[in-house]
Order: sequence, then structure tokens, then C-alpha cells
Amino acid sequence: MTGLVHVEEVMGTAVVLDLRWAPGEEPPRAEEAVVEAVRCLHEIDRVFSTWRSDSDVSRLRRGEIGLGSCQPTVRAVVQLSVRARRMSAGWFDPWRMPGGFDPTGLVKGWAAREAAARMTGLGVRNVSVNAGGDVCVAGSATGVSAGSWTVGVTDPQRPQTLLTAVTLSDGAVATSGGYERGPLAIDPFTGATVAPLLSATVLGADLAIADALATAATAAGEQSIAWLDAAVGYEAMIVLPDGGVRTTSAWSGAVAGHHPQVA
Amino acid sequence: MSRIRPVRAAGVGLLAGLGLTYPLAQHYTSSGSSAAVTVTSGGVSVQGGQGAPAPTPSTTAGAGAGAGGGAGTGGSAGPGGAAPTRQVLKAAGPTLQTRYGPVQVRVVVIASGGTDRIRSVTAVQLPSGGHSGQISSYAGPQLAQEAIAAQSAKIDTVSGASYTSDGYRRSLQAALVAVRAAEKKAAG
Repeated sequence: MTGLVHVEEVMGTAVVLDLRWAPGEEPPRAEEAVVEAVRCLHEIDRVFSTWRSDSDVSRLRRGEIGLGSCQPTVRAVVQLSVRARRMSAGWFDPWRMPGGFDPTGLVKGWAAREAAARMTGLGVRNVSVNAGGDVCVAGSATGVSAGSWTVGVTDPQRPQTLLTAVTLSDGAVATSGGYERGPLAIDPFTGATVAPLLSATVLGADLAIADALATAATAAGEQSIAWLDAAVGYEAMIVLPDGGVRTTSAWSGAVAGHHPQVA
Repeated sequence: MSRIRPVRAAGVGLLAGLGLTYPLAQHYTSSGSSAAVTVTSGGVSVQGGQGAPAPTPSTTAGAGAGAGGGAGTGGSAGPGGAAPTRQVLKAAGPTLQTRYGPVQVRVVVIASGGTDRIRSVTAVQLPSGGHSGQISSYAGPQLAQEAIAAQSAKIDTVSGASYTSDGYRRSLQAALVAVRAAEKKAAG
């Protein structure tokens, strides 16, 4: 297995770019692709960070500018947010966050997806982008076309171990939970800080949507299984406070089916 | 929760201070790499890179894994001679004990013709014990996750709730201080 790995600290987290290829098949623009992906991530951070007072989103939140004055990427994220809000029965709602429009729960996944797209657009076929635990992959981890990527899902009660693993060759896995940063989920209906789930993992085609649904599920709790089940093209696994696991109906068909034992 | 936090990581600030622009990746497997530079913990080696075929260093996982060295103390100018076209600066931060085991951060800076400056920041997880002199695996700052990946050959990456490691940040900061010291030495 041959490849290229880069870790970038951006958006308050670490993003791992992992490019693979079969021996002798290095994409000619692999390094350029990494540079482009990194540039993309920082640009997204500049536009979307709610911690930077001069970002488009911060200015939008303060009412200094309208959506029309924002970067086109903001409008793209708004459209995705509308879709995620509908799919999550209102539990993902950037418009009901404290301080105004805050699409943070979707942006990290979207940024990773965009970074991956920049790289595949430059001829990189086998790549995974892991943005603080939100993962999107293309191609395979071995560099051969028949392969896939195996993505472990962290056990929220024992973060050094895995709950399960998912195998996919093109797609996304997002996990939200309070086990590393505390209960940061916000109930959009009450504005309260809540964490009725230990974690929520969503698998699907689009990491932006998967990230938003996982974020929303963390706030919504066990009831989220109903709308997660109805989300076409997405499957989910949630971990309840007592450690109980619930999945959507087709989840088991989507996962690798093996449970690696990790010390 | 994907909560975007301010990018005030010590490493990022230092990198900005160094005027580094393009982060670039690091080959983690490489056949026939001729630009390998051994890095000792806390030390820095500077290599005038005429012999390197690729625009980035192909490092082999052979770095010394000693504990804790002070950053910024190494710094040895390479065989510069007549105006080296490339300069590879590498530094390893001190080994830090984290809840996931000993961790060390390695930084690579390439100055090419005085213009393109490229860096790679890589966290390496040392084998348990941490003193075998051989870095066993690549691990990103998502230490638990990458450690899992390293332990289970079937796992390529791990999805989990996000966090960043203070240990990673501290080691990164130390490594960058070392890089800066090496840059000054190389320039002087």
C-alpha cells in the first residue's frame, strides 16, 4: 500500500487527508491535490467560522450583510441546511441556534466532502478525508478498483475501542456525540443544551447531510430513529445513555458485519 | 458535535509566524526513498537537498523515539555548498504521554528556491514503551482513532465524535520552535 497522508489543523479540529494508490500508480497530481484540499479547508473556515468575527457567517449573524452578499458557498450550505432540517423533522435547524444562523453542525462534514471533491477532481481516485471523526471516502484503501475502505465507529463509552465497522467505497460516515467535548448539542425547539445520546453515527452518500443528521440525532435522542429510518439513502446507529444501541432498519446490511476486537 | 472552534492552536499560530504557506503531505511508504532524514526527538536536521528526487521528502519511519528532548536545540546545516536549491527542515517535538500512549509530532518544512515553502505536520504514535527507536505507525492527532487503525489492519480510518489533543498541540508547538531555530541557523 502506497500513499500520501497529510494532517491539517483547521476549523478547530484536525483533518486527515489519506491518499492511496497501488504500487506504481501514483496520481501525477497527488501533491497538488493535497495543497488544493488544504486551501479549500482554510477558505471554508474563513467563510464559515462563527469564531472569526470577520467571516461571512459571523457578519450574517450580526445582520451586517445579507445572504446575497455572502460567498456562493454560504448559499450552498443554506440549501443543504434546508434539506437537512426537513430530513431531521426540524431537529437540525441552524436558524434556531443561539446567536443566529449557525450551520456549524453541517459545515465540517461539508468541508471534508468539498476537500475530497477537489482531490478527486485532480485525478485522485482513492482517498479518505477524516475531519475530526467525520469521514468521507472515494475508491479503495488498497488502491485497486475492487476494494473499499473500512471505517471503524468509535464506542462512545470506551473511545479506544470500536463499536463496529462500515465498509464502503464511495460515501460518508459521520459521528456526533458528547463523549469528547461534553454535551454540546442544542435542542432547536427549546434552545437548551442537551445530550440525550452518547453518540449518533450516520452513513450515506453526502457527508454534509450525514453530519447534520448525526448532530440533530444527538439532540433529539431515541426518537431520532423514526426520521433517520425515513431518510432515503442514509442509515444510522445511535447509542443511548445506558449504552443501548438502536439502528435503522437497513443499517446491518450496510456495515461490514465484523466487530474487530481492539485492546 | 461538530463545533467549530477558533483556530488558535499554538501550532497554527506558529506556522503563520513562520510565513509558511502550503502545507503538503508526507509519503508514508516509499520505495527507494533517497531523501530520508533521521530525526531525533527534539532535534532538528537540515539537509541541503540536491539528492532528493521528489519535491517532498520521502521519509522513512526510522526516527529516533527518545523521550522528551528540548526543542530547538539541534540545528545542523547540511552540505550547502553553492546555493542549495532545496532545503528540507525537519523537527520532532518532544514525546508526550497522552491517554492513548506516547505521541510525538514531526514537522517538515521545505524551502525551495526561497519561494515555495511547504510544510508537513505529522503526528506519530510511538510503540508502547516508546523507546524502541522505531516509529511503528503513522497516527494523526485523532490519537485514539488512529491507534485503533494501527492496531487493526482491517480498519482504514475511524469515525467518532471530534476532539483535538492537547498533547498533539503541545508537541506541535515544540517541534515548530525547533524548526524556526533550524531555519535561523540555516540562514545564518
